[in-house]
Amino acid sequence: MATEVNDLLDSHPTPSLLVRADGRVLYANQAAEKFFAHDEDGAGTGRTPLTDLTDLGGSELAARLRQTAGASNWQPFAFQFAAGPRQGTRVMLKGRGILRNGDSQPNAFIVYDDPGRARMSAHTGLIRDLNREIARQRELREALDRSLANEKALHRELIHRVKNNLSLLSALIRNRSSETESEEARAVLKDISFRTQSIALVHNMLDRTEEIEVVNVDELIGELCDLMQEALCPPGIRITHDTANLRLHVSDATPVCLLINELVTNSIKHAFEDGAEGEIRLAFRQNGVDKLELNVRDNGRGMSLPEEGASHHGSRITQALATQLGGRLEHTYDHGTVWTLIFEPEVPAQAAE
Amino acid sequence: MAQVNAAEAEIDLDADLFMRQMLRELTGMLQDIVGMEEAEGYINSVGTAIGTWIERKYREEMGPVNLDPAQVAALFVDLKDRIGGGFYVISTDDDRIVLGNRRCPFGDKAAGRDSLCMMTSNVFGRIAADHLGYARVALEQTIARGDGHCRVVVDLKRDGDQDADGKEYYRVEDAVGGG
Repeated sequence: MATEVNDLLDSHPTPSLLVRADGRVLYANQAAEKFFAHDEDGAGTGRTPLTDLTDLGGSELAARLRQTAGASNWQPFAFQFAAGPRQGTRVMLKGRGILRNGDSQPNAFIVYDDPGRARMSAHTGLIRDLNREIARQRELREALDRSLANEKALHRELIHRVKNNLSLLSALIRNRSSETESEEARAVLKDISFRTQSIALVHNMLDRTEEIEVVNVDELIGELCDLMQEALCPPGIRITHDTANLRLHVSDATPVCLLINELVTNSIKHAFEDGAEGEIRLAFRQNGVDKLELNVRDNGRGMSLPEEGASHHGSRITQALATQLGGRLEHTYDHGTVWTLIFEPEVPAQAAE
Repeated sequence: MAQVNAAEAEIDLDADLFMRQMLRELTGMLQDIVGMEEAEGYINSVGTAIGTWIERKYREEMGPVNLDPAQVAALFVDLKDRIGGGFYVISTDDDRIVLGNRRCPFGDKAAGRDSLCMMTSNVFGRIAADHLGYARVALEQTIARGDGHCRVVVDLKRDGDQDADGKEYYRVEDAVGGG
């Protein structure tokens, strides 16, 4: 073991000396023999007493060496070469005391404190720390990515289950509707079932496209129109739509679906004479920079007076949905009834790819 | 604005405060520029020289005979008292001296200047090693680090434990041997 340590120290690039307090060199590694040698070819013994090498007087050097040998703390000291090829060169050294087992007196272990090496060592240390930090950040990023993927998977699962539950609920309501004999109850249950289907439509789309938060509004309104056309419209009434290719957050998409459902249902019920032909046109587009605009227009006989019960209730729902969207719902007459909702989406709408 | 005579102005400034503030700035600059480890190297060097100087002064008054551990502990308390410290002996025997301190000689200027504590380590270590042959000084608690008080343990027997806390100090005879 001692031999291995000696070999290691001997081949170490830092000039290292073991010196007695009187300046006699007890050990010098190869780097020290070269560094402190008198002759230029570096073949000197390196064992020349430090007193002969330095500009420090004998007593001053002795005091420094005593001070260095007397404590295990590293202490700096400097001297100028008084002889040899480095004559006139000032060097920075540092040393500490070493008391070997069995020795009665400590000796000074002195190393050449190469400032270039120190800077290099500092840079190496910084690079090592930097690499360690980069590795730590990478692990953190991977853990975050895993966590995010996990959360997305859970969210998708939740959407899937909500979609199934809404479909189940809608089926139950339809089933109950077919069992009831009351016309009024059947109409109410049909409305509720369709509202449930409108909400389910958003979750169907999220589930199908594996999205979590946004839906393509053109596809959504298209599917809603198809659904209403098939389920609600009498023959002769046609639902069409002209929708900008936008992506809408689910928090806005759900009330928009419900509002369209209410307005279209209202038109189907009240705008046209029995058996008359007609058209209900939907438009959804950007309005200015921050806002969106929904139009529901029919070419029927204009706004009917509120009927007791259902239509009055429907009006409250449409206003409540408009308020939920933070928008304003207005209607006018222009060869039929025109409903217009302008609102600022909770999350800015994005153009679909 | 009222004219105030500078000599009559109530300013918290005297020679002692000036020196302590200067030391604080010097050690702070050393710690910032060359780092704690290198700064301690310089403080070690100064501390050893100061320790040697103080030890010589006591010897000149108390004679050349080496003191025993209890006397060395009393000397530590006395010298710290002379420079404004508040050290006291917690325990002392042939193996160990344990000291406490409630007041730092550097006052509040020691806060965050760990390297200044090496002065105490070096002075105690140098004096203890010169009188008793060997000392390992561990600063277990320090005001500078925010412990509120200091606890200094001076081991007097060398157990060869390389992992033990503290710095070692050795007696260096005039007639050098070894090797």
